[in-house]
Amino acid sequence: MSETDDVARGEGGSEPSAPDLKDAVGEAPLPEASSPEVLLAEVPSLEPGGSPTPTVVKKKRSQRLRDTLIWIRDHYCVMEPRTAGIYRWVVGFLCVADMLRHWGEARWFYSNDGVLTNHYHLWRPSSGYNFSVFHAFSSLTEVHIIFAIFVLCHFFFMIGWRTKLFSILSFVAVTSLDNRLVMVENGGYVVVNLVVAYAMFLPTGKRFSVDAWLRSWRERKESTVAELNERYRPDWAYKPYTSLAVLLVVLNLAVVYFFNVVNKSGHLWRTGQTVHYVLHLNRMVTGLAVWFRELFPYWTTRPVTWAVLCTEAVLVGWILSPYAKRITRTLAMIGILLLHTSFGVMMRLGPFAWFMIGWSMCLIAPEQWTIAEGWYRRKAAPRVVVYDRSSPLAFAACRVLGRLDNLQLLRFEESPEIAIENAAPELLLARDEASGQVFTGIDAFRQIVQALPGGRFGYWVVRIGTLGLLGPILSFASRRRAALTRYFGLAIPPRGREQTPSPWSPLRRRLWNGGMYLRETLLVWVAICSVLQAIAENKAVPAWARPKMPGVMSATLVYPRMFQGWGMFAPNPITDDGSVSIDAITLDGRHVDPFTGEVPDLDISDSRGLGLGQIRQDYFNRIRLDRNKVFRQPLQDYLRNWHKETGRPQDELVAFDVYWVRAMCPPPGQKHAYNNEKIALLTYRKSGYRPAPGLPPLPPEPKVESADTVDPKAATATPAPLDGVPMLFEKLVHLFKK
Amino acid sequence: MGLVLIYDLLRRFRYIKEFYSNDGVLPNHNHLFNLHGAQVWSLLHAFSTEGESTFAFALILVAYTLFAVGYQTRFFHVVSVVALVSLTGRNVLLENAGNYAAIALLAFTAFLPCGSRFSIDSMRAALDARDEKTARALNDRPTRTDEELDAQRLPGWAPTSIAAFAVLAQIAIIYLATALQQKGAWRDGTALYYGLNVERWVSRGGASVRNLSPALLALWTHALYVAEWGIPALVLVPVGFRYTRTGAAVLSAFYALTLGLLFSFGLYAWTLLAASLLLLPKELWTGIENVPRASRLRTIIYDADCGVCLWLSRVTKHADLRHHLTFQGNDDVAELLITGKNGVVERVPAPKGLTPEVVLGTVVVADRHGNTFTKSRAVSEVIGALPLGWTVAWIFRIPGLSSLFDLGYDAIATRRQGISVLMGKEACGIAEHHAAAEEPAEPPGPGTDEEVAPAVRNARTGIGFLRELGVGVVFAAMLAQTTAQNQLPYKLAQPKWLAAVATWPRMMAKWDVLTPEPPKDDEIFVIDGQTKAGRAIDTLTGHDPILDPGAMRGSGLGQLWGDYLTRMHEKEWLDFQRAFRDYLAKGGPGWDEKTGDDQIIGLDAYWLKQPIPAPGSPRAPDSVTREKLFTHSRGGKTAITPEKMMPLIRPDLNLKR
Repeated sequence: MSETDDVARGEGGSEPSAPDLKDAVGEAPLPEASSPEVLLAEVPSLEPGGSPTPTVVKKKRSQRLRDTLIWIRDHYCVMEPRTAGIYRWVVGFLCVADMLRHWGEARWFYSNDGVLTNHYHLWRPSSGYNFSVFHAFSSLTEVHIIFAIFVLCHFFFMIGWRTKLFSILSFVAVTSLDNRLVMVENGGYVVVNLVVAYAMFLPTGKRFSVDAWLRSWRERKESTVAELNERYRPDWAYKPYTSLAVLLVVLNLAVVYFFNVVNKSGHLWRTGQTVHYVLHLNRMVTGLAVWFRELFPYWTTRPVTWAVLCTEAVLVGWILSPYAKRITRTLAMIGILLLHTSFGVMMRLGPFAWFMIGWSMCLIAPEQWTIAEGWYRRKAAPRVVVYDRSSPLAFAACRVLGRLDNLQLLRFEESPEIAIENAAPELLLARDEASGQVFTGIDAFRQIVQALPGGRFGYWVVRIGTLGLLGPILSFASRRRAALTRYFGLAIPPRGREQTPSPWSPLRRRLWNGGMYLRETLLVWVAICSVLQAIAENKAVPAWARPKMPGVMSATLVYPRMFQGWGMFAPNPITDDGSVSIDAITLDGRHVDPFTGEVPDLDISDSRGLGLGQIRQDYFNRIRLDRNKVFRQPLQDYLRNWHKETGRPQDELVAFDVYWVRAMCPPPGQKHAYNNEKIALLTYRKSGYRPAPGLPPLPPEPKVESADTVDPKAATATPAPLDGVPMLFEKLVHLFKK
Repeated sequence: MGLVLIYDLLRRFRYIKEFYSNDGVLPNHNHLFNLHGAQVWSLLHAFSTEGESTFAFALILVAYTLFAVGYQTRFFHVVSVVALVSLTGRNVLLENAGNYAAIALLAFTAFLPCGSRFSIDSMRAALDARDEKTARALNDRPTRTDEELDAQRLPGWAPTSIAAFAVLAQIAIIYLATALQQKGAWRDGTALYYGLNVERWVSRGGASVRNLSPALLALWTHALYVAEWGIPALVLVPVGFRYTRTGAAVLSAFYALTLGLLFSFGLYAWTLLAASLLLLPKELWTGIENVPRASRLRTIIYDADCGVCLWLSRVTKHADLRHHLTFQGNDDVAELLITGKNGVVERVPAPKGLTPEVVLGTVVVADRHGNTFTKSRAVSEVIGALPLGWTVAWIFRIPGLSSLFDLGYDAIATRRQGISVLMGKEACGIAEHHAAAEEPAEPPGPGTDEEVAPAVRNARTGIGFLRELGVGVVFAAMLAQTTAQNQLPYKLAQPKWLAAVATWPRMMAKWDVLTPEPPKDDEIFVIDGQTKAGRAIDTLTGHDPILDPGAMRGSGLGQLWGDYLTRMHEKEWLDFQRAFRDYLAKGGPGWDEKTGDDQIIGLDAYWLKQPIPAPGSPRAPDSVTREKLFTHSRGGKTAITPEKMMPLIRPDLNLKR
């Protein structure tokens, strides 16, 4: 029997009925959920004459409502622990990677040696309801420590050790990271916050985790070959999980795409010019995007633009479809993977693309597990593992393999009795049951591992991880099996009692249910806040319909920065490119840009990608804005102390001008940016400075201007008339919006 | 120590707005800015508003409480260290030797097995280790040898550690360093008198005893001085622990209680009082544990068919340190079970009041004189037999209240079967006693030392080595810091990294309480503010400005405000004054009126000084001098009243206590 046979299934098969699900919330039963049949039986009969009484009508209505809720619960609120486990691995890995990425910028952006000191940000917080643990860490050393702690938190969350605790700490970590430097926040950061927030409410530690692993070792201590061949399938690891969190995590994903479509109402999207413009944003693009824009003609980018919009539109349906999940969810995951991989490799958008892929892991339904299982089963071959019957080490290895063998492709056998003294059988050998072929040593290891889920890839991970010494290691273990057994204190049967979970007392069950209701109530609250936030924040919603969020609702979402405004490059992509360049003069008269360490580049029209990371490019893009003028003071302080960072006194800056260097992206069909200009954001001249003999006097200070100003040409540009395919596309968008 | 931490936190709770939020005297950004990169760290810097800080305090309270009751003790011990460091580091103007002592002792004891006894952890472990089902099992109390206990301890839980030495040494060092720096008034016996006349320090209790005869205060001073020298000497004596360590603990408790009751030194005295318990020798514990007092011996007759009653009996058994209690089921009351002199349970004739009818309706407790107690009185007797139970037991005997407790008892007793079912306990199945259940279960942990695998042993050794290394480094840092911060005859080399180990967690080791001697001047901080209606007001107290320190009679603002205001007038803390002025402009702890005639329209800040007369002499009211620290807006009301004007001086700002 396959692993998914006795778990909840989607449409078209054995979707669990309501009574089946009553035990599905976490580990404890739900309050008795009435099935539709039971409810129908409770409805009183009609009055003579056929007209229902008001009571009957009311009951019918309430029954319909209950049926609807049950339908929603069965179709959207159930998640397999396996799905949650995969979700945790992917999100945890991305969190570790993202935290490491930010750690690389610790000095510049997160320490008091950088461009925004903690005391300045606390004095002038970027927003209300701003809380970040990073604010408590000032010096670079302290910041390194907190980054190390948070990386560890993410790592432990990823591997599922004390999962609940570390999922909460991971949430604190990501929201703190965002709140410490709100200036570089983009939709990606919000996605990270949401994805990790939902993880706190999902059963992420039930499968594929250290917690689950340790628990299974405590609860099940196999002592015979028969017990090895009988897989341990505890309820806590296999029962589907029911919670509003499952609905929210899926629904929110659909909402992201929905608003991304409806907000993209600009003519550049409709006329298919978006990809062209986006590919010419040198501050954002990667080298691959530069290659793409230079190689492919303009007309090829138009279908790509529409394809992006269409994909996002159909994703909403695929994600939310309650039926045919086998197809729709698979298509949704593939669509998200392709869409965001292309975003991720072309643009420097930070965590957005990768975390959206991570988010899509929540879409894995039992049907997808069945598909994956079938696919892997076709690739993998069953093997018989014959272990040394006298070696506790071999037996312990079999216990490990039994826990990894989710597809049950392994069968265990004891080695035959050997009468010859001092002769020992192979520690482990593998046998192909069909052909009878026997594998020993490293070949046996390979055969066994490849029969495990993911073992085809895992085998090579192990080979590389052991630096090619796998063969000698296995050989050593086989030779020294007795010594290793003693060293690790192994025995057959394993030591200690099986700690089978005792049945819960009614009191504990009630307390657990109380906690569950609290959790669901919290989720309802978050859902209400999020819905209002989505209405208030998205451009597609008319102004009159946007509610004013009460303070407590704002606090609920703004502290963790779980916003709901979705509209990347909406309604139109920006058509001007820009970045910050600093023309600084050192004590010894050199012109240098402290951000690059090189001669300042004040012309970006010839750029083939600026090579800036997301954090820097977003910081540059935001520091130019008038609303962030207040944050230029710490930037100035940083530049004045730049020589302390380099450690060279002659690097002291006696003057600097911080420019926003801007150029218009090339119009469709052209390749070169134009209209390069520089706008001074900040200037500084050291008071009392006298140039050394032979050095020119300091240049006059440029006038500081607003870099917010909309390009008048762009503002007055008339959209091109639509015809042909664009017109057809616009009609489709119109229909979709309707 | 957990209780001391909770007391300290609750004390700070009422000052969250003033000292820990951005609406107070030192916003987090201002503090961080003024620290100029000093090695000060606090997680509370991340909390800005009063609400956020209150939330953080609530979390700290939870951590302290769980540490105090010993739930996940090691974890919450470390969290408590972090919390205390954060509380200290958030506003360094409030810290004093009490913070340094508390952090140091808390940090060192984090390496010791504080959860092994008198904790929820140990209670749970004891309940898990043996599932008693019968009265016989309840009365069976095998004692384990030290070797067996050691073998069961998890890595990092052995009490034999450098940390144990470090704790003792730290306590000794605190007293020794203090004594070494004291002179003058400590030698002539006037120190306590002068100390009690410093309004910023004295508590209400201290104010009430400062007029005792000078001879008595001199005697008390000498006793304190002797205690300071005696404690380190007794601690360091390597023999006769039963007497030396006990003597040190008693002296330490005397010293701590004196300072705690007479002065407002914050954590200092109460930390030392808690530390006194660390000095109690093993011999003393052995003399208490398993040694019952005849007058407290009791027999509990519990409902043998009630699961929750059995569970309560098991909990009581493990809390019964001195083995005062003997357990007996109500299914066999023909005779009474008592524990004999050698710990053997014996049967004696049942007292008159012990009838089958009585034991069906209530728990019965019998003493050795044939007296029986029921209901809440029985509960009182049981609690009274437990360690320190007498502090609570008397409440159940108060006339009137005892009737209420009886009602409560009845309400629970009649529902005990239901409660048993609710808690998953057996309700009526206890009678099915089976011998196997009475056998002690396999103890948790790896078992005896022979059963520990070499891999586990190596891991333990590695962890133990790291632990000892950690303690060693922290201890070395504390030693070096102590010699650097105090006027001691010896100075140890203190490399930067070692100084950082002590400085980051605010283990500043400045043992300067009442050193070198209490000041001969009484100094106070007074705000002379005026309201829109023209009323003179001290916004710190909410009353008229008191310009005579001698008239305050111990009605100071407490340690936090005392230390803060003292520093406010010192030159090295001038950078922090601006935030204080901004705060005062909006009101103060005693004045929060921001509108109408009561709003503050100007104020002056003064540092008043009055010489403390020699013992037995009265204060001279006209000897008060004032130092004007700053003026806000229109200034104060009193300052413009000629008859109340005092001579203005500008003495050295670097005044020492």
